[in-house]
Amino acid sequence: MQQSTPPPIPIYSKQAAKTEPEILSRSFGLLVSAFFIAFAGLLFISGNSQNQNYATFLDIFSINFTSIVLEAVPFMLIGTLVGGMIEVFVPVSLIDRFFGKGEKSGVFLAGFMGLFFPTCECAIVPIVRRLILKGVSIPAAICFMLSGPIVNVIVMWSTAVAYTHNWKMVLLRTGCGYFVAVLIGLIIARFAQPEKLIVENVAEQSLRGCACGGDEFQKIPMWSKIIHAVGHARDDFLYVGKYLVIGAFIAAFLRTIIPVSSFTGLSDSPWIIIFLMMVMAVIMNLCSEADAFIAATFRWLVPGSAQLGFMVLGPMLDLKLIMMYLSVFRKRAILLLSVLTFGIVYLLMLIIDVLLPPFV
Amino acid sequence: MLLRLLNISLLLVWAFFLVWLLTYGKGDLIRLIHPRLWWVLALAAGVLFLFFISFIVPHKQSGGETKTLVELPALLILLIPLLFFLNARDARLDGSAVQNRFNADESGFYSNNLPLFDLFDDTESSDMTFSKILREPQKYENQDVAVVCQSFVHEQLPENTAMCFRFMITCCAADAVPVFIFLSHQDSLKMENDRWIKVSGPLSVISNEGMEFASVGVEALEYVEEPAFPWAL
Repeated sequence: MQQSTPPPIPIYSKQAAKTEPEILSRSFGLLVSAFFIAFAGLLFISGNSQNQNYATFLDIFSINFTSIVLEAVPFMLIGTLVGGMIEVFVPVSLIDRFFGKGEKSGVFLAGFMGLFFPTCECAIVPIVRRLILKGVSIPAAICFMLSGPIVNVIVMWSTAVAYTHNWKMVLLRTGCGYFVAVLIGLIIARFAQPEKLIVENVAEQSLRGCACGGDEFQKIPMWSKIIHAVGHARDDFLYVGKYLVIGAFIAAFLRTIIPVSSFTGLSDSPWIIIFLMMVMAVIMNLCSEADAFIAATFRWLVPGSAQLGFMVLGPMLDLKLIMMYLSVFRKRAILLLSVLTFGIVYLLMLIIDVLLPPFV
Repeated sequence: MLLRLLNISLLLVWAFFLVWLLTYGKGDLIRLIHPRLWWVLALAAGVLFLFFISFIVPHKQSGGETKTLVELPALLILLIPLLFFLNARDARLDGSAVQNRFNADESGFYSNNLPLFDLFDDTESSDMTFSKILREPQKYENQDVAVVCQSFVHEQLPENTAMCFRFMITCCAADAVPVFIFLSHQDSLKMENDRWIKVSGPLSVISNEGMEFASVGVEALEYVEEPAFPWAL
């Protein structure tokens, strides 16, 4: 009996760029990448400087940079793996039913998904990228991206520990995270063409060009499917990884040169201190599982609403995340998302500051 | 083909780097990441080896080819953290990092960045006296204690007063915040800044603006090597 040769595993590979805007965008990306490499290289080489202040700066910067990357990369790798598994094993019909285009209830549901898939913000971007490729509606994907790192049990636990089991703070953080994410999801759902928010290659691939969901694909052995999923994850890592590194670099740089006390000593006015704490959250790029411990150290110095603003905004918007968003969203969309997120969180915190009695 | 080889090399470099950190490089790793997160690094190394396998398993090539020149910068960017790790190995969080990360009120008074709750279990690798005193200073009041920490001598501090700090780590070195004990000493004692010291003496508790601070009356001081676990928990 003749044994049939198993079919080759259809590993996904990227489409070549064709359109002029994409070529221009790629050229600009190359230029930015080259500039970043040159800058980082010069910074490293100049470490032999005799200037003591500079040497100290470089030492602290190196610690900050490598520790942020080492902390974030594993979670991003796990995120890409989860994304690859979603691509291969989650049926398209299921996605269409709950999170497909036109399913507004999907936004409300997506806000809770972090409870079932607890992920930090480093893992969420590759997962969301993959979810969009799979066919999840843009508003639902954005809602999950914003709420996932806050509305999840690990972050709720770490917040409870940092605030000595102050359940008001835990509930407020979780509730605000859900509210802001759903509100932004619903605003995006009002757009005529939310697809225009995402970059071209993601938009093209979201036509399910990989054929993972096809009947032919379903016939291949399980191990082949797993290898296929890992292939997706690997490509996502190689694609998104550079954004993480650049984001971590900028974050570490600012973390090294800006003293924490410069934020707290500026004003007693709640509307200024809330704003400053939110700016600090964007600059500090803390992991959502660790930020509560940092926020809690400000309890003697700033009102609860400002601490809450720090913890609600940080997992949704920071420098590292903004760089990673570039792998999914257009630059104008990132600007829009940033302004929306910052504005809504800020207004919400002002309302909380006025209406709620002290809760910390 | 060249791009494929470069991708494979990059994945292997990262995988072996993580494996090295978790085996021979623990002394360096402990200064960057909290030990409770090390298992995640092991998982990451496993995922990278999986990626490597997915590269070497024969498969159908589809779609257009990507130019090596276009992808090369992205690969180089992913290697930059490894470059700076070489510098981070010998670098330490010192007094300048303390000043950068301290919370201070308008009068310049420092506050201890300390949660009011025990976060993690004691580890055998750590001298926990410092952390225990920070959490329950009253328990050690009027007792003779010995703590190992870094000296912080600053002109803003009152006369014959110094501070002794460690960084409290929750996830990684970038998140670590300084916590301290006051040291009161005699005129004759000249303490060097930014050195690991072991100080012994009676402990007292001082209050300021609703916060309590531990203070050790220095009876003996010696300069010591940096401990294997330099953090406070």
